[in-house]
Amino acid sequence: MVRQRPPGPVSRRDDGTFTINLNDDERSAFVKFFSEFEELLTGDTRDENLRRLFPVAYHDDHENDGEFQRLMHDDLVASKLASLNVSLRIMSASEDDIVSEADVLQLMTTLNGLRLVLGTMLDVGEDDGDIDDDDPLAGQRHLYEYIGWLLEWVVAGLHEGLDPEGKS
Amino acid sequence: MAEPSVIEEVNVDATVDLDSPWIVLVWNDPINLMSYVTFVFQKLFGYSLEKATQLMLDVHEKGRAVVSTGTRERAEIDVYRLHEHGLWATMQQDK
Repeated sequence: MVRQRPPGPVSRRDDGTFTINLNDDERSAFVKFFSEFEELLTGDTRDENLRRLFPVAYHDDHENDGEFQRLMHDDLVASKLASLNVSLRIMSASEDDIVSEADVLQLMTTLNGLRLVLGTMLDVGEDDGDIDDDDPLAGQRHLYEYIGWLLEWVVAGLHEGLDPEGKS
Repeated sequence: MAEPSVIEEVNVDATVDLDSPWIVLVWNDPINLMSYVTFVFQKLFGYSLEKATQLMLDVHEKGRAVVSTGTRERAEIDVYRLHEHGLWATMQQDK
């Protein structure tokens, strides 16, 4: 008898759609995190904690970078908010709801964006070790790890839909 | 505005410069997951898993990698799409 592997939090179905296998408590938590993220994005986007979401486009070229940001910044904010709306909709639905690949891609960018903000707040580095539970920021560090765990599953699920040989 | 005499002095190099392609660089960041960066390179540029993985490792180990080359307009689009995905991308003319 083949033992069936327990499903992870993200399952790709045969038709290329997905299910997100998180319970109501987990979904409610993500709705809360995403709503807080939305508040940040609709506030002052020059907030230092958002700097990784809005990096420079021209290295050592302030004039061209200023022009790029003038033309693109608002579109970039709108794009991130649109992804957030899709992600909120996914987490507000029930566990057996079917989610399109396009929507899972939006969830992926939202999870990564949230992780970038949290990682910036926590000043995460390359060689950070295990979480010390006496650390006053231990809760946020566990949350950072949890978001990373879900993101890994989302990426793995989306990877299944790509041709490893590429398209070019 | 530059004086006409200045324009005459930079003629040959300026022509070469205008023809030089633009490159898009992705820089290392301790937060982005390696699997995520690899996936984004595959998805945005249609690269094979092997090429996307090599580029991701170059970013991780060398600090940066050139992920696309082309016109300035193409580079601006690529940088924007990479920023949409939370990757630290910049563009510059290849010299």
